[in-house]
Amino acid sequence: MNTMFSDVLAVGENPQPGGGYRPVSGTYTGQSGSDRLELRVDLSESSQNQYQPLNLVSGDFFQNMGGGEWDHRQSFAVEHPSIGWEPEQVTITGDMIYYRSTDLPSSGQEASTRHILKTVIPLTIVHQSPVPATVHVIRWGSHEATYLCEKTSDFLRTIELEIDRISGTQLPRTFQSHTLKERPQDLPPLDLSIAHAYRRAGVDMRLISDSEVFSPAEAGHDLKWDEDELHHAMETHFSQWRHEPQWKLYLLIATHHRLYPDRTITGIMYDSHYRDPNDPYPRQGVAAFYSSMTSVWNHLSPEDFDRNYLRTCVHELGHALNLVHCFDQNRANSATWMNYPWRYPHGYNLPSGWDGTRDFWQDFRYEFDAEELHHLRHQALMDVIPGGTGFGSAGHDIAAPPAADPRQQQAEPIALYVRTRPERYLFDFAEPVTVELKLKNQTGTPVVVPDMLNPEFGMLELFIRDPRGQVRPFRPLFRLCGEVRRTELPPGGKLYESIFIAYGAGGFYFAEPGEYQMWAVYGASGLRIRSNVLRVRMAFPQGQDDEEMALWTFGRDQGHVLSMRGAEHLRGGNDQLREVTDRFPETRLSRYIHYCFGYNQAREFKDVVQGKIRQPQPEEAIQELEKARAFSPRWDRHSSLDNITHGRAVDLLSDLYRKTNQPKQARSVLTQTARYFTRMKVKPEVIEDMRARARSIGEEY
Amino acid sequence: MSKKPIETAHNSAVSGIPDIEPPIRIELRTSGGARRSLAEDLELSVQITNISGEPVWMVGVVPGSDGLRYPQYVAEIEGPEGSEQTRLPEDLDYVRGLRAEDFVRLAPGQSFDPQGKDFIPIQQLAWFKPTKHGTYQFRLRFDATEPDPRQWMGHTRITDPRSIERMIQRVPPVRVWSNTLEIEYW
Repeated sequence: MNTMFSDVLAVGENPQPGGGYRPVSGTYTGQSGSDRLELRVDLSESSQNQYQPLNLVSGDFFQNMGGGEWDHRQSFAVEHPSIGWEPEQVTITGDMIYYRSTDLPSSGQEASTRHILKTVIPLTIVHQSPVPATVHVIRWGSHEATYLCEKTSDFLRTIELEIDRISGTQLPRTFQSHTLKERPQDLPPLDLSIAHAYRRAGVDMRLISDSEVFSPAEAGHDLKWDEDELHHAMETHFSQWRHEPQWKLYLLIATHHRLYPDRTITGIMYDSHYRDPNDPYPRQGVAAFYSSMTSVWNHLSPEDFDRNYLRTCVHELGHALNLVHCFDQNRANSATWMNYPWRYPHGYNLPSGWDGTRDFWQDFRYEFDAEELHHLRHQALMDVIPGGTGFGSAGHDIAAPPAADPRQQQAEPIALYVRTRPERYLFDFAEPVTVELKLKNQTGTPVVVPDMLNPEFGMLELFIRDPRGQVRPFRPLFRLCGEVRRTELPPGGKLYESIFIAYGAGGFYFAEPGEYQMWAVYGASGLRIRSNVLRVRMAFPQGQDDEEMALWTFGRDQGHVLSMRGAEHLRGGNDQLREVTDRFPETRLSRYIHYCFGYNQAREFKDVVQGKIRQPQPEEAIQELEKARAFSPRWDRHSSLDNITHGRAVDLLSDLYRKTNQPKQARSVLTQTARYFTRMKVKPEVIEDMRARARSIGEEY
Repeated sequence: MSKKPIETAHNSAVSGIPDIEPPIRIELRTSGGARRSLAEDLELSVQITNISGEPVWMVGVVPGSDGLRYPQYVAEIEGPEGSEQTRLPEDLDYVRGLRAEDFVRLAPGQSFDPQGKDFIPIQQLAWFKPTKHGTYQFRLRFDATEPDPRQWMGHTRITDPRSIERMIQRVPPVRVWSNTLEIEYW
């Protein structure tokens, strides 16, 4: 969820009249031509909310395919809407952020188009007939479409659940929260069932059948089920099972899990890629192992058993809706349905003999946490719907703001550009990607802007869409804090920054071959400036050598060395990158590694662990930097480094030559680079500055 | 996948083992003494060293490594009354997909901590708490002999499964035991 720019569109106060009014939150559906819109409105209201509000809006567009078939087109969210409550209506406005199903190839269109959603919902009292909401989709300041939407549910998703059981097992019973003393003291009494647990999350889980009881013969004589047997049972007994995504789920109350008889496994979501990597419609069924539960929880009171049984069912159904464990997402201390009570709040970092069960129930409010609620209600349809994307692939996608349209960008007073310099589309496999950011004053007057284009300052966000269509924010390794640094840009003035984005806190961002798209959003001076979309393609590995090179390179320590331009303490990473330069010297990757090594050796290194200081090693640094800047016939007399990095390497090299009493070389690298930059059409002032420095070295000696 | 398994041991005699030198050595260590009270926490560290002349690819401890997926890091604990079953209160109902970052390349002579940064503790070892006075023996078994990559990959979707399969192929198909650590609890 993007919270960095929440100041741009603030959530409004809620002067909604008091009781007696119909709730505004829920699902609205309407048509415009052959398109259908399903809108989910999730607002904090004066009247008692049925579920915890998140104050945002999301929706899905469908297209009529004829014969009653609707084809899902796009999901979107309005993350930080402006909400205007008036006596007779509420108006919700904001930027639509389009999601993509991570399994589809990217067209790129959605990243460059800005749409605004404006929804007007009349407020009606309970006994009045509801009045439809009017939803405008506005593109470029003009209406693109208007939908008149009827409210179709007070909830945000509707799911039909079918439960079958094996003879000898029991269905989960309703659990009354106040029957057990381990609970939050301020928790009101709750009568909890699977359906109620999900309704508290804004999901209308409707139980459509719990009647079928069948023999355990399908599990074999041992009554133990494996994934294939469970899937087969689903295909046979799930009356509404279809080979397609649908808002329907199947829960089988089974006996035992087969694979790990010495393990305590009380439930699973068996319909994953583990069972069948090629299953196009995963996540349709789950199982709870009643016989295992009665065996391992035989010491529990009936109420405590019911509570644990219910938790297992809600938890497994959460997996079917593509929720993963909270401790797999660095939220081990979240008291949610998706945690394990005994692991709470440590997750995998278990103290000896730890049992957090009691603490968990003391803190657990029988709810999903905010991240999970956002996923269930507002994540892209295909990432949630049973039969959609693969298990674990949702919740990792993000709702990225769209990029600017090129025409819009030209009209903006300040424009942000992401580009490669020299301009390139094709990158070698495993080659580090560095992009150049340019902020340009397009007005006729000077403009003061923050000079903080580096993502480490937190004002600029970079988004990367990988070849599979998954969008990831680039997360730098470090976050820098400090005063906002400002600079005045004259009319036509530009601010530049070179960003190494091959590796960051999210690992290697370009590890797969294929086309990538990148765009940036800069929150500056109350503005939210969106960049163009930059497309680059990572080449497929050309053979065994490229594969080898990637294996030597794609490691955490190597990533740190490349990102930090040298990290002496990461010896393993340095050793492996040295292997790359030794074995594959004529590659762009090797040239960049030489740059990192040279940069590192030119500076002092304080080893705080060893308590030693390594002094700068100018001679070694020079050797590395000379290799880094070297041209190769392979690249048509171009540097393998981008212009800014090449310039930095040369500046450092010239400085090192001066410090080691080699003025001729110091001058020479500057004049050579000035000629190269002239050929590359680099800004004249940069070239002139280089020439001036070369002349000054001449005068000095 | 045509990995030929090698079963071997380090610092322990196991019958029926082919006479093949393993490429790695596993050392189980403790910062505390060999004698301690039951109230003391058990802190064991693990170091894996490449003792071959070639680079070796390894996978650190990831969710499910303690028996739900390969490679396995399984703690074998002998207490005063025989084998200790460190059965966790509830096991994972899925394990996350294997990632490229989970693989570590060890140059000849290089070591790494499979429970270190970016990995997780061996769950049964971390959670284990001795309850009876007497001598306990701890040993760790690393097992990468499973030829079916499906048993390594985990349950959540992997972005590039083919490349992960290729990386799995590089992990030596060995079963290796650590030294045995003996601790007396009073």
